[in-house]
Amino acid sequence: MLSQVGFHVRRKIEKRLAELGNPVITSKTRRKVILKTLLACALAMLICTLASSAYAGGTTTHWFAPVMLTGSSIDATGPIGSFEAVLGVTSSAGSGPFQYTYWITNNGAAAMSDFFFTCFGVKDLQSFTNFMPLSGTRMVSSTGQVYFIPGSELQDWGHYDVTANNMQVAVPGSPREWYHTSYDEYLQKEVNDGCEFNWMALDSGLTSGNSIGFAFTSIYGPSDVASDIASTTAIRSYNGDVYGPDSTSSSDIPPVPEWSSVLLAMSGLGGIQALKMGLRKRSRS
Amino acid sequence: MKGALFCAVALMLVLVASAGAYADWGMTPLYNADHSQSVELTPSYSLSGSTYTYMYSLKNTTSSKTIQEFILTLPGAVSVSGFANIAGPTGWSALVRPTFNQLDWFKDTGSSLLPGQTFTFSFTSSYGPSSTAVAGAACQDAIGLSGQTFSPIPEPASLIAMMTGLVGLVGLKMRRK
Repeated sequence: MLSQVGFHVRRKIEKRLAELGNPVITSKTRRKVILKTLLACALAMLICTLASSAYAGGTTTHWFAPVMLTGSSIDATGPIGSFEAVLGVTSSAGSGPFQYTYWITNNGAAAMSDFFFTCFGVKDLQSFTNFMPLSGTRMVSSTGQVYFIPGSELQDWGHYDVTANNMQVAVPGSPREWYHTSYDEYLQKEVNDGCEFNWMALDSGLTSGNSIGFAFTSIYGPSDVASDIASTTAIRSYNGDVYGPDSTSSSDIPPVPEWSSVLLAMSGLGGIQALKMGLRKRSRS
Repeated sequence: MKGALFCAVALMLVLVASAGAYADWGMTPLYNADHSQSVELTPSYSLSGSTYTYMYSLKNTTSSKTIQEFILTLPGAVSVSGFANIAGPTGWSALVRPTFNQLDWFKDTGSSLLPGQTFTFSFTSSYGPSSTAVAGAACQDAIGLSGQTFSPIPEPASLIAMMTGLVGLVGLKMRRK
Protein backbone atom coordinates (compact mmCIF):
# COMPACT_ATOMS: atom_id res chain seq x y z
CA MET A 1 0.00 0.00 0.00
CA LEU A 2 2.83 2.36 0.95
CA SER A 3 4.64 1.70 -2.38
CA GLN A 4 1.43 2.53 -4.27
CA VAL A 5 1.14 5.83 -2.46
CA GLY A 6 4.84 6.50 -3.15
CA PHE A 7 4.31 5.77 -6.85
CA HIS A 8 1.40 8.20 -7.07
CA VAL A 9 3.35 10.90 -5.23
CA ARG A 10 6.28 10.43 -7.58
CA ARG A 11 3.99 10.63 -10.64
CA LYS A 12 2.57 13.82 -9.26
CA ILE A 13 6.04 15.30 -8.79
CA GLU A 14 6.98 14.40 -12.37
CA LYS A 15 3.76 15.99 -13.64
CA ARG A 16 4.42 19.13 -11.63
CA LEU A 17 7.98 19.38 -12.96
CA ALA A 18 6.70 19.00 -16.51
CA GLU A 19 4.18 21.76 -15.87
CA LEU A 20 6.95 24.04 -14.69
CA GLY A 21 8.47 23.44 -18.12
CA ASN A 22 11.92 24.16 -16.89
CA PRO A 23 14.52 21.41 -17.16
CA VAL A 24 16.90 23.37 -14.98
CA ILE A 25 15.31 23.32 -11.58
CA THR A 26 16.33 26.07 -9.20
CA SER A 27 17.29 25.13 -5.65
CA LYS A 28 14.28 27.09 -4.32
CA THR A 29 11.85 25.16 -6.48
CA ARG A 30 13.55 21.88 -5.56
CA ARG A 31 13.26 22.67 -1.87
CA LYS A 32 9.59 23.48 -2.38
CA VAL A 33 8.96 20.23 -4.21
CA ILE A 34 10.85 18.21 -1.58
CA LEU A 35 8.91 19.87 1.21
CA LYS A 36 5.62 19.14 -0.52
CA THR A 37 6.74 15.55 -1.12
CA LEU A 38 7.68 15.09 2.51
CA LEU A 39 4.35 16.49 3.63
CA ALA A 40 2.46 14.23 1.27
CA CYS A 41 4.51 11.23 2.45
CA ALA A 42 3.89 12.02 6.11
CA LEU A 43 0.18 12.28 5.43
CA ALA A 44 0.21 9.06 3.42
CA MET A 45 2.09 7.30 6.20
CA LEU A 46 -0.43 8.48 8.79
CA ILE A 47 -3.34 7.30 6.65
CA CYS A 48 -1.56 3.98 6.04
CA THR A 49 -0.90 3.42 9.72
CA LEU A 50 -4.47 4.21 10.70
CA ALA A 51 -5.95 2.15 7.89
CA SER A 52 -3.75 -0.89 8.47
CA SER A 53 -4.30 -0.70 12.21
CA ALA A 54 -8.06 -0.75 11.73
CA TYR A 55 -7.82 -3.45 9.07
CA ALA A 56 -5.63 -5.73 11.18
CA GLY A 57 -7.70 -5.10 14.29
CA GLY A 58 -4.62 -3.53 15.91
CA THR A 59 -5.08 -2.94 19.60
CA THR A 60 -3.40 -0.70 22.10
CA THR A 61 -3.42 -0.89 25.85
CA HIS A 62 -3.62 2.20 28.02
CA TRP A 63 -1.98 1.59 31.37
CA PHE A 64 -3.33 3.70 34.20
CA ALA A 65 -1.01 4.86 36.94
CA PRO A 66 -0.90 2.47 39.93
CA VAL A 67 -3.34 3.18 42.72
CA MET A 68 -2.59 2.13 46.28
CA LEU A 69 -5.72 0.84 47.97
CA THR A 70 -6.24 2.42 51.36
CA GLY A 71 -7.30 0.46 54.40
CA SER A 72 -9.68 1.74 57.01
CA SER A 73 -7.66 0.55 59.96
CA ILE A 74 -7.87 2.75 63.00
CA ASP A 75 -4.58 1.50 64.35
CA ALA A 76 -1.26 2.88 63.18
CA THR A 77 -0.01 -0.17 61.35
CA GLY A 78 -0.14 1.66 58.06
CA PRO A 79 -2.10 -0.56 55.72
CA ILE A 80 -1.49 1.78 52.77
CA GLY A 81 0.56 0.00 50.16
CA SER A 82 -0.72 -3.44 50.98
CA PHE A 83 -2.53 -3.59 47.67
CA GLU A 84 -1.61 -2.01 44.36
CA ALA A 85 -4.17 -1.71 41.57
CA VAL A 86 -3.23 -1.06 37.94
CA LEU A 87 -5.89 -0.73 35.26
CA GLY A 88 -5.13 -1.71 31.68
CA VAL A 89 -7.70 -0.81 29.01
CA THR A 90 -7.29 -2.50 25.64
CA SER A 91 -9.19 -1.29 22.60
CA SER A 92 -9.02 -1.22 18.81
CA ALA A 93 -8.03 2.20 17.52
CA GLY A 94 -9.46 3.85 20.62
CA SER A 95 -13.01 2.71 19.97
CA GLY A 96 -15.10 0.12 21.76
CA PRO A 97 -15.56 -2.56 22.85
CA PHE A 98 -13.02 -2.05 25.59
CA GLN A 99 -11.37 -4.78 27.57
CA TYR A 100 -10.69 -3.75 31.14
CA THR A 101 -8.26 -5.61 33.36
CA TYR A 102 -7.72 -4.59 36.96
CA TRP A 103 -4.37 -5.97 38.09
CA ILE A 104 -4.07 -6.35 41.83
CA THR A 105 -0.78 -7.04 43.56
CA ASN A 106 -0.77 -8.15 47.18
CA ASN A 107 2.11 -6.50 49.02
CA GLY A 108 0.63 -7.20 52.44
CA ALA A 109 0.90 -10.24 54.66
CA ALA A 110 -2.67 -11.59 54.62
CA ALA A 111 -4.26 -13.29 51.63
CA MET A 112 -6.89 -11.39 49.62
CA SER A 113 -10.28 -13.06 49.74
CA ASP A 114 -12.38 -10.72 47.56
CA PHE A 115 -12.15 -8.16 44.83
CA PHE A 116 -14.96 -5.64 44.44
CA PHE A 117 -15.45 -3.33 41.51
CA THR A 118 -18.13 -0.63 41.52
CA CYS A 119 -18.94 1.22 38.32
CA PHE A 120 -20.94 4.38 38.88
CA GLY A 121 -20.94 5.50 35.23
CA VAL A 122 -22.94 2.61 33.75
CA LYS A 123 -26.27 1.36 35.07
CA ASP A 124 -26.56 -1.63 32.78
CA LEU A 125 -25.28 -4.97 34.06
CA GLN A 126 -25.86 -6.61 30.66
CA SER A 127 -23.25 -4.38 29.06
CA PHE A 128 -20.46 -6.12 31.00
CA THR A 129 -19.35 -9.41 29.45
CA ASN A 130 -16.40 -11.83 29.10
CA PHE A 131 -15.46 -11.95 32.78
CA MET A 132 -12.11 -13.59 33.36
CA PRO A 133 -9.72 -13.84 36.29
CA LEU A 134 -6.15 -14.00 34.95
CA SER A 135 -2.71 -14.85 36.21
CA GLY A 136 -0.09 -12.34 35.19
CA THR A 137 3.43 -11.03 35.56
CA ARG A 138 4.09 -7.53 36.83
CA MET A 139 6.58 -5.55 34.74
CA VAL A 140 8.10 -2.09 35.01
CA SER A 141 9.24 -0.35 31.82
CA SER A 142 12.39 1.77 31.53
CA THR A 143 10.21 4.85 31.96
CA GLY A 144 8.83 3.48 35.21
CA GLN A 145 5.45 2.52 33.82
CA VAL A 146 3.91 -0.51 35.53
CA TYR A 147 2.28 -2.99 33.20
CA PHE A 148 1.38 -6.67 33.15
CA ILE A 149 1.87 -9.61 30.85
CA PRO A 150 -1.33 -11.67 31.03
CA GLY A 151 -1.04 -15.39 31.71
CA SER A 152 -3.65 -18.11 31.87
CA GLU A 153 -7.27 -17.94 32.93
CA LEU A 154 -7.78 -18.83 36.61
CA GLN A 155 -10.44 -21.22 37.84
CA ASP A 156 -10.02 -20.61 41.56
CA TRP A 157 -11.71 -17.19 41.51
CA GLY A 158 -15.39 -16.59 40.78
CA HIS A 159 -18.37 -16.48 43.10
CA TYR A 160 -20.75 -18.64 45.10
CA ASP A 161 -24.43 -18.94 44.33
CA VAL A 162 -26.75 -19.68 47.23
CA THR A 163 -29.57 -21.98 46.19
CA ALA A 164 -33.11 -21.99 47.61
CA ASN A 165 -32.20 -24.73 50.12
CA ASN A 166 -29.14 -22.75 51.26
CA MET A 167 -26.61 -24.82 49.37
CA GLN A 168 -23.49 -23.03 48.16
CA VAL A 169 -22.48 -23.60 44.55
CA ALA A 170 -19.11 -22.34 43.29
CA VAL A 171 -19.21 -20.59 39.92
CA PRO A 172 -15.64 -20.18 38.58
CA GLY A 173 -14.72 -17.20 36.41
CA SER A 174 -17.57 -14.76 36.74
CA PRO A 175 -18.20 -12.42 39.68
CA ARG A 176 -21.39 -11.93 41.64
CA GLU A 177 -23.08 -8.91 40.05
CA TRP A 178 -25.77 -6.57 41.25
CA TYR A 179 -26.96 -2.99 41.02
CA HIS A 180 -25.35 -0.64 43.46
CA THR A 181 -27.75 1.77 45.10
CA SER A 182 -27.71 4.99 47.07
CA TYR A 183 -30.39 6.63 49.15
CA ASP A 184 -32.17 9.55 47.54
CA GLU A 185 -33.13 11.87 50.39
CA TYR A 186 -35.56 13.82 48.20
CA LEU A 187 -37.40 10.75 46.88
CA GLN A 188 -36.83 8.96 50.19
CA LYS A 189 -35.99 5.66 48.54
CA GLU A 190 -32.99 3.78 47.24
CA VAL A 191 -32.09 4.33 43.61
CA ASN A 192 -29.74 2.43 41.31
CA ASP A 193 -26.59 4.40 40.77
CA GLY A 194 -24.26 1.84 39.21
CA CYS A 195 -23.16 -1.74 38.83
CA GLU A 196 -21.16 -3.76 41.30
CA PHE A 197 -19.11 -6.91 40.91
CA ASN A 198 -17.54 -9.21 43.49
CA TRP A 199 -14.98 -11.87 42.60
CA MET A 200 -14.48 -14.27 45.48
CA ALA A 201 -11.57 -16.60 46.10
CA LEU A 202 -12.80 -20.16 45.68
CA ASP A 203 -9.54 -21.46 47.10
CA SER A 204 -6.83 -19.87 49.22
CA GLY A 205 -7.03 -16.39 47.68
CA LEU A 206 -4.26 -14.08 46.49
CA THR A 207 -1.24 -14.64 48.68
CA SER A 208 1.47 -12.13 49.48
CA GLY A 209 3.72 -11.05 46.61
CA ASN A 210 1.42 -12.30 43.87
CA SER A 211 -0.67 -10.54 41.23
CA ILE A 212 -4.03 -11.28 39.67
CA GLY A 213 -6.00 -9.66 36.86
CA PHE A 214 -9.78 -9.29 36.80
CA ALA A 215 -10.85 -8.78 33.19
CA PHE A 216 -14.14 -7.95 31.52
CA THR A 217 -15.41 -6.28 28.36
CA SER A 218 -17.69 -3.29 28.02
CA ILE A 219 -18.90 -1.17 25.14
CA TYR A 220 -18.48 1.88 27.37
CA GLY A 221 -15.25 3.84 27.51
CA PRO A 222 -12.95 4.31 30.50
CA SER A 223 -14.44 7.67 31.45
CA ASP A 224 -17.72 5.87 32.18
CA VAL A 225 -16.44 2.57 33.50
CA ALA A 226 -13.28 3.06 35.55
CA SER A 227 -14.24 3.93 39.07
CA ASP A 228 -14.21 2.50 42.57
CA ILE A 229 -12.35 -0.67 43.47
CA ALA A 230 -11.77 -2.54 46.68
CA SER A 231 -10.18 -5.66 48.03
CA THR A 232 -10.68 -7.52 51.24
CA THR A 233 -8.39 -9.46 53.49
CA ALA A 234 -9.34 -11.41 56.57
CA ILE A 235 -9.85 -8.42 58.82
CA ARG A 236 -9.64 -5.27 56.75
CA SER A 237 -10.97 -3.88 53.53
CA TYR A 238 -9.00 -1.64 51.22
CA ASN A 239 -10.44 0.88 48.80
CA GLY A 240 -9.32 3.09 45.97
CA ASP A 241 -10.52 4.97 42.93
CA VAL A 242 -9.38 4.52 39.36
CA TYR A 243 -10.76 7.20 37.10
CA GLY A 244 -11.12 7.37 33.36
CA PRO A 245 -8.88 9.48 31.13
CA ASP A 246 -11.42 12.31 31.01
CA SER A 247 -10.86 13.08 34.64
CA THR A 248 -8.15 15.20 36.12
CA SER A 249 -6.16 12.26 37.41
CA SER A 250 -2.85 11.36 35.83
CA SER A 251 -4.32 8.22 34.41
CA ASP A 252 -4.10 9.01 30.71
CA ILE A 253 -0.85 7.20 30.22
CA PRO A 254 0.39 7.01 26.61
CA PRO A 255 -0.21 3.61 25.06
CA VAL A 256 2.55 1.07 24.94
CA PRO A 257 3.56 0.98 21.25
CA GLU A 258 2.89 -2.22 19.38
CA TRP A 259 5.45 -3.88 17.12
CA SER A 260 3.19 -3.62 14.07
CA SER A 261 2.91 0.15 14.48
CA VAL A 262 6.67 0.51 14.95
CA LEU A 263 7.34 -1.54 11.80
CA LEU A 264 4.83 0.53 9.83
CA ALA A 265 6.39 3.77 11.01
CA MET A 266 9.86 2.46 10.08
CA SER A 267 8.72 1.39 6.61
CA GLY A 268 7.14 4.81 6.15
CA LEU A 269 10.42 6.52 6.97
CA GLY A 270 12.20 4.18 4.57
CA GLY A 271 9.72 5.15 1.87
CA ILE A 272 10.44 8.85 2.39
CA GLN A 273 14.18 8.20 2.18
CA ALA A 274 13.75 6.23 -1.06
CA LEU A 275 11.66 9.05 -2.56
CA LYS A 276 14.24 11.62 -1.58
CA MET A 277 16.99 9.56 -3.19
CA GLY A 278 14.95 9.15 -6.34
CA LEU A 279 14.31 12.88 -6.51
CA ARG A 280 17.99 13.65 -6.02
CA LYS A 281 18.91 11.28 -8.90
CA ARG A 282 16.33 12.95 -11.11
CA SER A 283 17.56 16.48 -10.39
CA ARG A 284 21.17 15.40 -11.12
CA SER A 285 20.22 13.92 -14.49
CA MET B 1 -24.92 -31.29 103.25
CA LYS B 2 -26.06 -27.72 103.63
CA GLY B 3 -22.91 -26.55 101.93
CA ALA B 4 -23.47 -28.86 99.01
CA LEU B 5 -27.04 -27.69 98.73
CA PHE B 6 -25.89 -24.09 98.83
CA CYS B 7 -23.37 -24.72 96.06
CA ALA B 8 -25.95 -26.52 93.92
CA VAL B 9 -28.43 -23.68 94.38
CA ALA B 10 -25.73 -21.14 93.55
CA LEU B 11 -24.82 -23.06 90.40
CA MET B 12 -28.47 -23.31 89.42
CA LEU B 13 -28.87 -19.57 89.90
CA VAL B 14 -25.82 -18.85 87.78
CA LEU B 15 -27.05 -21.11 85.00
CA VAL B 16 -30.61 -19.79 85.14
CA ALA B 17 -29.34 -16.23 85.10
CA SER B 18 -27.04 -16.85 82.16
CA ALA B 19 -29.60 -18.85 80.20
CA GLY B 20 -31.51 -16.40 78.09
CA ALA B 21 -29.35 -13.62 79.40
CA TYR B 22 -28.51 -10.97 76.89
CA ALA B 23 -25.16 -9.29 76.94
CA ASP B 24 -23.55 -6.94 74.53
CA TRP B 25 -20.05 -5.68 74.08
CA GLY B 26 -20.89 -2.13 73.27
CA MET B 27 -20.99 -0.40 69.95
CA THR B 28 -18.04 -0.58 67.53
CA PRO B 29 -17.88 1.89 64.67
CA LEU B 30 -16.83 0.66 61.25
CA TYR B 31 -15.07 3.32 59.23
CA ASN B 32 -14.18 3.88 55.62
CA ALA B 33 -10.62 4.77 54.62
CA ASP B 34 -10.75 8.50 55.39
CA HIS B 35 -13.15 8.10 58.32
CA SER B 36 -15.72 10.29 56.57
CA GLN B 37 -18.35 7.54 56.74
CA SER B 38 -19.17 5.10 59.48
CA VAL B 39 -21.78 2.62 60.62
CA GLU B 40 -22.39 1.26 64.10
CA LEU B 41 -22.00 -2.40 64.93
CA THR B 42 -23.21 -3.81 68.24
CA PRO B 43 -22.45 -7.46 68.93
CA SER B 44 -24.35 -9.37 71.60
CA TYR B 45 -25.15 -12.92 72.67
CA SER B 46 -27.65 -14.99 74.59
CA LEU B 47 -27.36 -18.48 76.02
CA SER B 48 -29.99 -21.15 75.80
CA GLY B 49 -28.94 -24.51 77.22
CA SER B 50 -25.46 -25.03 75.87
CA THR B 51 -26.04 -23.11 72.66
CA TYR B 52 -25.06 -19.51 72.24
CA THR B 53 -26.88 -17.21 69.87
CA TYR B 54 -24.75 -14.35 68.58
CA MET B 55 -26.30 -11.24 67.13
CA TYR B 56 -24.65 -8.38 65.32
CA SER B 57 -26.81 -5.28 64.99
CA LEU B 58 -25.67 -3.02 62.22
CA LYS B 59 -26.98 0.55 62.16
CA ASN B 60 -26.50 2.65 59.06
CA THR B 61 -25.46 6.06 60.38
CA THR B 62 -24.47 7.48 57.00
CA SER B 63 -26.59 10.14 55.32
CA SER B 64 -27.01 8.61 51.88
CA LYS B 65 -25.06 5.37 51.65
CA THR B 66 -26.82 2.05 51.43
CA ILE B 67 -25.33 -1.18 52.81
CA GLN B 68 -25.63 -4.29 50.68
CA GLU B 69 -23.14 -6.64 52.27
CA PHE B 70 -21.84 -7.49 55.71
CA ILE B 71 -18.82 -9.71 56.24
CA LEU B 72 -17.75 -11.09 59.60
CA THR B 73 -14.33 -12.67 59.94
CA LEU B 74 -13.92 -14.87 62.99
CA PRO B 75 -10.65 -15.52 64.80
CA GLY B 76 -8.58 -18.49 63.69
CA ALA B 77 -9.36 -20.52 66.80
CA VAL B 78 -13.01 -20.71 65.82
CA SER B 79 -14.29 -22.64 62.86
CA VAL B 80 -17.26 -21.12 61.06
CA SER B 81 -18.07 -24.55 59.71
CA GLY B 82 -19.65 -25.40 63.05
CA PHE B 83 -21.98 -22.41 63.05
CA ALA B 84 -25.69 -22.99 62.53
CA ASN B 85 -28.93 -21.04 62.09
CA ILE B 86 -27.16 -18.32 60.13
CA ALA B 87 -29.79 -15.66 59.59
CA GLY B 88 -30.00 -12.16 58.23
CA PRO B 89 -32.57 -9.67 56.99
CA THR B 90 -35.34 -10.87 54.70
CA GLY B 91 -34.11 -11.31 51.17
CA TRP B 92 -30.44 -11.48 52.17
CA SER B 93 -28.34 -14.60 51.60
CA ALA B 94 -25.50 -15.89 53.72
CA LEU B 95 -22.29 -17.57 52.66
CA VAL B 96 -19.98 -19.61 54.87
CA ARG B 97 -16.37 -19.38 53.74
CA PRO B 98 -14.26 -21.70 55.90
CA THR B 99 -10.99 -20.88 54.10
CA PHE B 100 -11.14 -17.32 55.37
CA ASN B 101 -13.29 -18.13 58.43
CA GLN B 102 -15.88 -15.69 57.13
CA LEU B 103 -19.62 -15.33 57.29
CA ASP B 104 -20.78 -13.22 54.39
CA TRP B 105 -24.29 -11.81 54.27
CA PHE B 106 -25.34 -10.04 51.09
CA LYS B 107 -28.46 -8.49 49.69
CA ASP B 108 -30.20 -10.84 47.33
CA THR B 109 -33.87 -10.14 46.66
CA GLY B 110 -34.38 -7.94 49.72
CA SER B 111 -33.72 -4.29 50.27
CA SER B 112 -30.50 -2.58 51.26
CA LEU B 113 -29.79 -1.29 54.74
CA LEU B 114 -30.85 2.34 54.36
CA PRO B 115 -29.64 5.33 56.38
CA GLY B 116 -31.08 5.26 59.90
CA GLN B 117 -32.09 1.59 59.70
CA THR B 118 -30.71 -1.29 61.75
CA PHE B 119 -30.37 -4.86 60.51
CA THR B 120 -29.47 -7.86 62.68
CA PHE B 121 -27.29 -10.74 61.57
CA SER B 122 -27.16 -13.85 63.74
CA PHE B 123 -25.89 -17.40 64.11
CA THR B 124 -25.70 -20.06 66.81
CA SER B 125 -22.64 -21.82 68.12
CA SER B 126 -21.52 -24.05 70.96
CA TYR B 127 -18.58 -21.73 71.44
CA GLY B 128 -18.91 -19.34 74.36
CA PRO B 129 -17.91 -15.70 74.50
CA SER B 130 -14.41 -14.54 75.07
CA SER B 131 -13.32 -10.99 75.53
CA THR B 132 -10.00 -11.67 73.88
CA ALA B 133 -11.34 -12.92 70.58
CA VAL B 134 -11.40 -10.32 67.87
CA ALA B 135 -13.62 -10.44 64.83
CA GLY B 136 -13.25 -8.31 61.76
CA ALA B 137 -16.37 -6.79 60.33
CA ALA B 138 -16.83 -5.07 57.01
CA CYS B 139 -19.61 -3.59 54.95
CA GLN B 140 -17.96 -4.25 51.70
CA ASP B 141 -18.93 -2.35 48.62
CA ALA B 142 -18.12 1.06 47.30
CA ILE B 143 -18.08 2.45 50.83
CA GLY B 144 -15.63 -0.06 52.20
CA LEU B 145 -16.30 0.27 55.91
CA SER B 146 -14.39 -2.00 58.22
CA GLY B 147 -13.26 -2.39 61.78
CA GLN B 148 -12.65 -4.83 64.54
CA THR B 149 -15.01 -5.81 67.25
CA PHE B 150 -14.28 -7.58 70.50
CA SER B 151 -16.64 -10.34 69.97
CA PRO B 152 -18.22 -12.98 72.02
CA ILE B 153 -16.49 -15.89 70.60
CA PRO B 154 -15.66 -19.27 71.95
CA GLU B 155 -14.99 -20.89 75.08
CA PRO B 156 -17.21 -23.84 75.79
CA ALA B 157 -14.27 -24.83 78.00
CA SER B 158 -14.70 -22.05 80.57
CA LEU B 159 -18.24 -23.02 81.49
CA ILE B 160 -17.23 -26.67 81.81
CA ALA B 161 -14.27 -25.66 84.00
CA MET B 162 -16.48 -23.59 86.26
CA MET B 163 -18.98 -26.41 86.68
CA THR B 164 -16.23 -28.96 87.35
CA GLY B 165 -14.78 -26.66 90.00
CA LEU B 166 -18.13 -26.27 91.74
CA VAL B 167 -18.82 -30.01 91.69
CA GLY B 168 -15.35 -30.59 93.11
CA LEU B 169 -16.00 -28.06 95.86
CA VAL B 170 -19.27 -29.75 96.78
CA GLY B 171 -17.55 -33.14 96.79
CA LEU B 172 -14.77 -31.86 99.04
CA LYS B 173 -17.24 -30.39 101.53
CA MET B 174 -19.27 -33.62 101.65
CA ARG B 175 -16.14 -35.69 102.21
CA ARG B 176 -15.01 -33.47 105.11
CA LYS B 177 -18.37 -33.97 106.79
